[in-house]
Amino acid sequence: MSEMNEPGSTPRRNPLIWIALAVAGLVLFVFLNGDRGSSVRVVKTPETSEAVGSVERSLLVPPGMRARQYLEQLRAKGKPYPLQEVFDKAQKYLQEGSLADAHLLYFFGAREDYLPSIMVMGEMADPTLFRAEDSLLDHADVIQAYKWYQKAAEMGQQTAAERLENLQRWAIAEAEFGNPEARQLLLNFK
Amino acid sequence: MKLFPGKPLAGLALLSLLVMLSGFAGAADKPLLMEGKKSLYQRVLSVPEARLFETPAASENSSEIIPFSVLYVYEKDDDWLKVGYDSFGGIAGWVKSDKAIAWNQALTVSFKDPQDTQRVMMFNNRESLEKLVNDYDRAGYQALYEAVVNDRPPQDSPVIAIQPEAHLEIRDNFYLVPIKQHEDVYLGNEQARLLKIASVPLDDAGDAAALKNAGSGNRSYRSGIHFVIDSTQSMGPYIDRTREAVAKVYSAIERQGLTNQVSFGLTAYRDNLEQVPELEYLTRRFVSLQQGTNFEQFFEGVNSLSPSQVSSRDFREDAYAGIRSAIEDSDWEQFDARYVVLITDAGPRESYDSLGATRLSAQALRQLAYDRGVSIWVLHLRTPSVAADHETAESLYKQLSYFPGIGDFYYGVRLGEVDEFGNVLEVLANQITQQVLATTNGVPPLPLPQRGGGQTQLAQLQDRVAKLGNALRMRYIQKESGQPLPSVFDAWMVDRDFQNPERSAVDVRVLLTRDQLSDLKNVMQQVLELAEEGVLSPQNFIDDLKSLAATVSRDPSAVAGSTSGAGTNLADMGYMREYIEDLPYTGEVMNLTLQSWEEWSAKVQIEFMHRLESKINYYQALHDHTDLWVTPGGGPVTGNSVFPVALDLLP
Repeated sequence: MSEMNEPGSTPRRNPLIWIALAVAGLVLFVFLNGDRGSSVRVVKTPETSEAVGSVERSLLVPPGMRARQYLEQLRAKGKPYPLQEVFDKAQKYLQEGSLADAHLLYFFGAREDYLPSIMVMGEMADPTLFRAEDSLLDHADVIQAYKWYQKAAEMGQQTAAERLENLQRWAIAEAEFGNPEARQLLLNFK
Repeated sequence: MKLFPGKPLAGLALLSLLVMLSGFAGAADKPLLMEGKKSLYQRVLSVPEARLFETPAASENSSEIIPFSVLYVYEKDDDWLKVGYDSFGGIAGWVKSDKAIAWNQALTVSFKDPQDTQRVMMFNNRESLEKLVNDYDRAGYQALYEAVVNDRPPQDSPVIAIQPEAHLEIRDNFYLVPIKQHEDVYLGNEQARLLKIASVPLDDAGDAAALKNAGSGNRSYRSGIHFVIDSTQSMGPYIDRTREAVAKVYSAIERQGLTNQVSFGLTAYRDNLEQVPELEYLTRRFVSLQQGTNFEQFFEGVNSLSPSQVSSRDFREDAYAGIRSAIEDSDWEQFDARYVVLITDAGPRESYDSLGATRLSAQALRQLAYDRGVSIWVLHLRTPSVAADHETAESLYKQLSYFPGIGDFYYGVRLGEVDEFGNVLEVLANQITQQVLATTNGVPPLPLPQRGGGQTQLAQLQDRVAKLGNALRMRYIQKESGQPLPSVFDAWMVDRDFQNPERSAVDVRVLLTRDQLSDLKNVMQQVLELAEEGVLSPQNFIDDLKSLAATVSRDPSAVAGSTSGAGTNLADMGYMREYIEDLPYTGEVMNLTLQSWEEWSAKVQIEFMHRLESKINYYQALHDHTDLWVTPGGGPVTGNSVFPVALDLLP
């Protein structure tokens, strides 16, 4: 599944989109007319956006913007962050196809050492598990996968340790065919 | 005249650094700084005749320096250089200044495989090459190229040398072609570089001798042909015809006195046994290449081969399993020309096919073969079965059999005609045998005439077989001939393929010290951490990046004035390191402007971050692998040890 508004992506279309676009246009028109002097940067809060519907919201808000606004709010409140809530929100974004928002929230959780987020980051980049429809990025990235699995394994996550072994096996096989990423990864295992 | 890019350099360059004399213990001097630099020292490379003296005076007490050793310059006068192998004050002695080449940037060239690009021509003066480049005179360049390749250069030819026809793999045989000067130019619409290099020629006499010596050497040119045959139910007639074709070729080999110089092997394959256990085997080797040098042994092995009695699951069979077995389980070492010939009427199981045993793609399998010097040919029997998907199979087999610089070695047998199949097999096997015969008799590989279109499928394939044969024979000739110790000359070249300037003709590498790589890693790690924060919370990223610039810059006082504009890139902000700033390459990290970053989507920012992190990971891994580092003058790995890093791996 592709991210809406990303270059080269193909937005999903359904008959309701035209109705939604009309509603969005109306909202935009009223909004801009009500404050002519303000910037055209129309950024709705996640809450108000929900009322409009997912399709038109995606057309108004750049990919990742909602996650960034949410993180800004979290950081304003300070630590400890509700990492389970962040993870759940990421899952929700993923399900609705907002891949940039989902990616940023998983990434945030992973940097804050939240194990489920770390594992998702690893799996999204794992060449043996990569699914383009669930990933913001177009390709697997074995160095990223290694980094996150390594971090999870150091935190005692057994599955991550097994995934690392799996990555090593993958790299040994791929390196024989001249895959430069695989060769680089093997340097990390030696 | 051909370029001889460094055989003596070879093994010589980095390897030589390991075995050099440790030098005299000197005062804790510092080498001379390069002009305008604060931490970069002057370096030279020794030329083949260079010798090391204890004092700056010619005497009998001198020792040889292995050509192209890297030396630091501690002192110099008009005729002499006081040099050492490290920058810590270890003086090795004095060398005559005309026996050393200034090599401050430590850039070197490694050539691409000439199968993929035109061979690189070296010009004896800059003007001749520059004119061709500026005019983008493709016809003029091509005419000169063909004259040089065919050993008929014009009398006033500016070409002093040409890259060898056979490929020298830098990983197997390290060589240095030092870059002394470089200049950005445009070749057509592509950015390119003129490079002034120092290297060593192999003269014409050496060429002729090489061929003669190779032809009369102790070891004969040998070809190994390993058949990989689909032995499922439908293949009976083709198995029989293969036996018949090979019997005829054996007979010809014997008549021409080439016994032991052409050998055949055979591996049969079927399909996934979990799905259909009655197939008995996935792959089975019936004859090895060693057994197949002998007619009787070959037929003893293949007489037991028969098609399966049961049908497999669908119209795809696991051809890749058969090919991989033939590549990996055969001893190819004693063969100069190595071929795997696939014979099948079915499509293969690609990497995504859960019933495939290899999980390899066509490209991956081709690479596996290429790495072992094996070319894959496919004889595809396009039988009129309704279940067959010949178009998909053809596409995959063409990818599989593609040989860089030559083309694919695919032949589709229309309607699976047994007679046509047998005829093609005999023609190709005989062509290989003729190449062995020509090499044995000392006949040089001849340039191939350009043919027009409209050729038959078989004629096109024969042309490719001839081209491949020429390349393999040249490699053999070069390997078997001795090479004289060459002298150094200067030349100019362009780093792009003149006819296809979007393709690089060479890789440019820089010799970095371990300390430099460590510094690079540390600075880039800090940039990465800011970028990670910037991806999540973009508000403070620009200011943070400016603050960091002030701490990592080599010249903090200059940073304040250079970070005001959003168009400023990281290099200008103070992130550039002295040891990479004058290189003919600026990576995307140093080129990154604050404006670009702000305009990028989250996805593009994340992709950039991942590429940066991948480079940092590489620097760290490289730094930690002490076995990869070479210490000038020998001794343990230190911060002064060096490694040639490809420029495109710089930030």
